[in-house]
Amino acid sequence: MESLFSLEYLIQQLNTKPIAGNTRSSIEKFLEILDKPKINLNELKKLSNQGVPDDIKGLRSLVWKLLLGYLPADRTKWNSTIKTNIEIYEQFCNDLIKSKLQKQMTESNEYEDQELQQSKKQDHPLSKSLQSIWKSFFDDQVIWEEVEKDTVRTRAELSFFVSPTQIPNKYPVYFRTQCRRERRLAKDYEHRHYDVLTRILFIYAKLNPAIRYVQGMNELLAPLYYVFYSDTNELFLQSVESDAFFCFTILMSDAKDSFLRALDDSQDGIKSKMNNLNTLLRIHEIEIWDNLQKQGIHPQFYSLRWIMLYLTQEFELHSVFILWDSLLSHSNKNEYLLFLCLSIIKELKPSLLQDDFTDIMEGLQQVGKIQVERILQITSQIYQHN
Amino acid sequence: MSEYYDEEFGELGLVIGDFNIPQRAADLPPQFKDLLVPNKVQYVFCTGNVGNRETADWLKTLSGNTHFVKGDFDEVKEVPETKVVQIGSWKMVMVHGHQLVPFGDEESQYTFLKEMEGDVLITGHTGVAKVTAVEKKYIINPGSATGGFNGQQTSIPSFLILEFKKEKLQVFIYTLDGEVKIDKQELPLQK
Repeated sequence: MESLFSLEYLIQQLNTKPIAGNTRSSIEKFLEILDKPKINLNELKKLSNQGVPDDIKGLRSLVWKLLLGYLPADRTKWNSTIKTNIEIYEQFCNDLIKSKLQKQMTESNEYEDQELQQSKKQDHPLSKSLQSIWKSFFDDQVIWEEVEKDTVRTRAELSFFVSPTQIPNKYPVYFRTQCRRERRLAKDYEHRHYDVLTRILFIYAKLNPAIRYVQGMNELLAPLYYVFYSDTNELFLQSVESDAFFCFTILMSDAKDSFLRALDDSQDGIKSKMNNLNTLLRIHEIEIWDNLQKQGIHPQFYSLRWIMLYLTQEFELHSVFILWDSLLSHSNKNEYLLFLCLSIIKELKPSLLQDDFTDIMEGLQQVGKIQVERILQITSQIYQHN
Repeated sequence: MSEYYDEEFGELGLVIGDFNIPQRAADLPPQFKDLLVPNKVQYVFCTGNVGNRETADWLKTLSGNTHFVKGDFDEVKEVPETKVVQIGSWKMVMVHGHQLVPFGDEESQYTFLKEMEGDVLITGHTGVAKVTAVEKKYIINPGSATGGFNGQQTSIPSFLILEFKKEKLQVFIYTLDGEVKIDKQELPLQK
């Protein structure tokens, strides 16, 4: 019989840190919900919808894991869930990130096939054969390089992702990309946060060949990883990478339709989502809708990035966390997201009613200045959820 | 971490030269063009006698590190006669070969390599792909990429791919004799 996961690390912070009155009572409400053998997820969602205070390190990290359905409601199962997932993720890394030598060794153990042995002997660096280990290695390297190009500049406004991680690296990197060569020449052997992002996205790409890696996926991973790293619980600090991987996978099950080119024109694709937002706009704010039409401001000029990247690019990271506290608390995230976007448009109303294309486009660049709490407030008024 | 990395997967180098395009050959054989794509090799070592600017530019697209030495028909000013490049534990010395007499003579090649204190001599001019071990050093020749290496004879088009490891050099010899054939040789580092 597994023991109840201890919340002492959260409670202790509440008792020792100086925290303002209303925040304190909000935190207490969260702890009341969490400090039960079985969590009432509906209550948690309702509370989280208004935002999770970040004065207590690890609170948001825990709440998000529950909201995403990564941790079960049964608190006695948390330890085993985390530990099992650490092992599964490690297995993925060992299976999918292989050096050429390791690939050769694996294949010779699995197959005694004469034909395969022959093709191995004929294998060479420039081979295009599907059995070629060199080719398979280069194909992996291509994916790694695609991912790395984006991860090294994730949230460049912060120093976090370029900084070294305190969690030691278990996995050597065999790939020779431009970026790694430059780092080697500069004698940079540090394991940085963006290196972890690269590995997570590489594993995801290998496990999901239908989608692989698409630019922007790094932006969906970044908030999860950052929040999970900002924890003080001993076990969670060991599992940052595997938790981020699995939670990213869960999030992607909702988000991936926007990234799949093949679905662009389908009813699940990004175009359809933009149209849905546009329809909502027409229903709720006909004046704005009408003016944008007139001025030739197409939905893809502003809403593509909002929808595809779950608003991560529109606000500074800590504001994104508050939006996601609310977003993740809804089961139909894609639908709720459109209402968040609608609220943003409502807040920008004066700019959007101008009669100059350039002025309106400039107005649309001011999204970052809106208070996210205000967005949540408006959305709670207009969102009818079944 | 950096040591481990070198052993597991060697960096790749392309050794190629004596194209003489368009003087002695119209173009690189299509089978070779098909194989030689960007982003697979980290280094390109060109033995000289490229022929025209386009071919030299094409070579530069294959990797970020292209090293040229001057052949007897190259009319480029900035290219040196000899070059030394250190790749990990390997000291590579490049010279086209028309400077070493008698042509293709192992002894004169070895003497030159010894003077330069190199491990491997990369040389061309003879038009024939060859990998030789002399004492504790190696002399490698990619032959002619097009088969047109001088006015009198043609040869089988060829080039080399090197895989650099800490303690050994894996050489892949690509020749075009009807179809592309690949031979392998492993050269241990001896110092």
